[in-house]
Amino acid sequence: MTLTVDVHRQFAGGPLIQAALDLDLDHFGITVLFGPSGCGKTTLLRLISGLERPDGGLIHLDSTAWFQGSRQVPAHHRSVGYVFQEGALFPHLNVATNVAFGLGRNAERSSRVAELIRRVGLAGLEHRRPGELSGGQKQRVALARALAPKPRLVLLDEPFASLDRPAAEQLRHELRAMLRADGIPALLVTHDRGEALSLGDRMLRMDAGRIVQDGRPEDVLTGIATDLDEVGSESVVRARVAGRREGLLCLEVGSTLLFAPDPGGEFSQARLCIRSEGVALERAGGAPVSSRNHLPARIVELEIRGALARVRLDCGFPLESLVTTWACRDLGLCVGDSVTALVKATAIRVVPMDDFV
Amino acid sequence: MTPAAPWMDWSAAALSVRLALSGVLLLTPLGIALAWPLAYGRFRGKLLLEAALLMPLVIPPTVLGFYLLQFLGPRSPMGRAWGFMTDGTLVFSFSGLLIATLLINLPFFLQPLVASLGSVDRRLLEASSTLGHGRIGTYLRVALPLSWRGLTAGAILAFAHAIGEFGVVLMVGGNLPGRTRTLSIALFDQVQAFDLEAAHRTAIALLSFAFLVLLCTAWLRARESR
Repeated sequence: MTLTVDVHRQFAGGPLIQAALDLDLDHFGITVLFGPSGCGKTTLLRLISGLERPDGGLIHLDSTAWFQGSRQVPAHHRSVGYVFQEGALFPHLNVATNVAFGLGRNAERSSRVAELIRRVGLAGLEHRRPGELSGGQKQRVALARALAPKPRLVLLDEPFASLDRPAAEQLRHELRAMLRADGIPALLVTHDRGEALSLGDRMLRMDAGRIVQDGRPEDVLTGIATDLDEVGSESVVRARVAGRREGLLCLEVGSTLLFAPDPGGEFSQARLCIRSEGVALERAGGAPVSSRNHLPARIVELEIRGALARVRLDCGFPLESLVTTWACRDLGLCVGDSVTALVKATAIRVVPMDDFV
Repeated sequence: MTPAAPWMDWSAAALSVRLALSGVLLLTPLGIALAWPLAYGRFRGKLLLEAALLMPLVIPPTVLGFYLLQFLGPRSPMGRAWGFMTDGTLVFSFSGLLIATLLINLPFFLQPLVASLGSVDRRLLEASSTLGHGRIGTYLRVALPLSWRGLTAGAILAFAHAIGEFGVVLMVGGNLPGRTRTLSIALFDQVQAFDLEAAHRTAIALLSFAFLVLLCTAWLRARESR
């Protein structure tokens, strides 16, 4: 089944949210809805879940209209799970009854509850009240509760935002496996690159109320400024772990080998974020330097902006380098030239991808 | 020599308690049903409904009693229907008193409950709906259990107020010993008869009861705000 969304909604004083997207609900996958705070990500989730009504447009599940014109299928008939930012657990119910909340009274009820509590790692805490749980445990309960009725789709609204770093990391490592067990596709909202890169199969980048890019996370994030000052951008590529040596990871990107600091943990796949200011260029065949990674490359594009030049390279995968315009002139760089890209290992951030196949 | 007056008009006290208890028992389902649209409903005429239900708080009890007397009297359609079914009259009877009690105490029951319902975290109600529960299911499984303090406070207030109600009871019920004479009417009688000692006992009983009730609600509120 395919969920087709093409809606608009405006709140008084807020930006116009006008978003169109398709989601495949037959196959497991995590789609990341990525964008800065306040760009309308949460609103889009609420429109899809039926908690909010669009001003216009349509939401279709195959040929069934969930929203169109005056027709609005209420949230409780959509079978779309929702994990709120801070869990929103029912404070008057314990862990087990929270998880069972969306289940009918039938024979499988208690076994399903037990299975989910085990899956999210909370066995033994069934009778705790939400007030007696840590933030991470609450989010696990919220996730189990949303998954229990086997919804068509589960929406996660910044599920790690309220957690401290270790708890967030831990949950992030386990999240994919938890979601995959039932094969329920997920739409995850985040403004964190690390989360997006470690979890996403697909990325929708949202900005000012619109979806501006749709693709693989590494493609979407390559060249997007990491923060407000435009300079820092990254090249993102997907890599396979080939080996570990002296605290360094040896990573395979296509046929190229790269060395990068090991963030620790068990994983076989990762996305690499390579800061463009950490990529130096030299004419092929220069003297040895301290960089671990020497990559033969071809210049695809040159963009000079004042004192800085952005050089797009093809070295088997797309890579960006940020050099001074001065250096660029000294080397006489032109589009089509062959160069060697020197990538400092410390300019590579390795984002582990857990449970990807 | 007149026979010594009893230490307390026990039949009046019993009637007061019976009236207040049955009132609260009937008010609970009625109030729960009416609180939903007041707390969460979005419909035309909501303000009107709100005002109508709160009216008994501000109109003089005797006025309400007068209209009830008209509405429930033996010549009214309601009174005739009642007479046809039970061979009795609504006015000057316990049933009539009960109807009056329900009407006048509804706002006391509703106000704390609606306030509690309004303070329930919206996201919890939304979470319930994404888990497949409609409005009624969400109300009964989430909103109401989380508003139990408001519900209890409303029930206590309505009970206390029902014990002490005077004007409406006198208008609708009259003053029939054992049938419609409640404790607060007995107090009025005792004062009229210059039996000040008995009046003091009755008044102290009503006063300490009222104080106890306020203490209870204050305690509930203190726990709610925590």
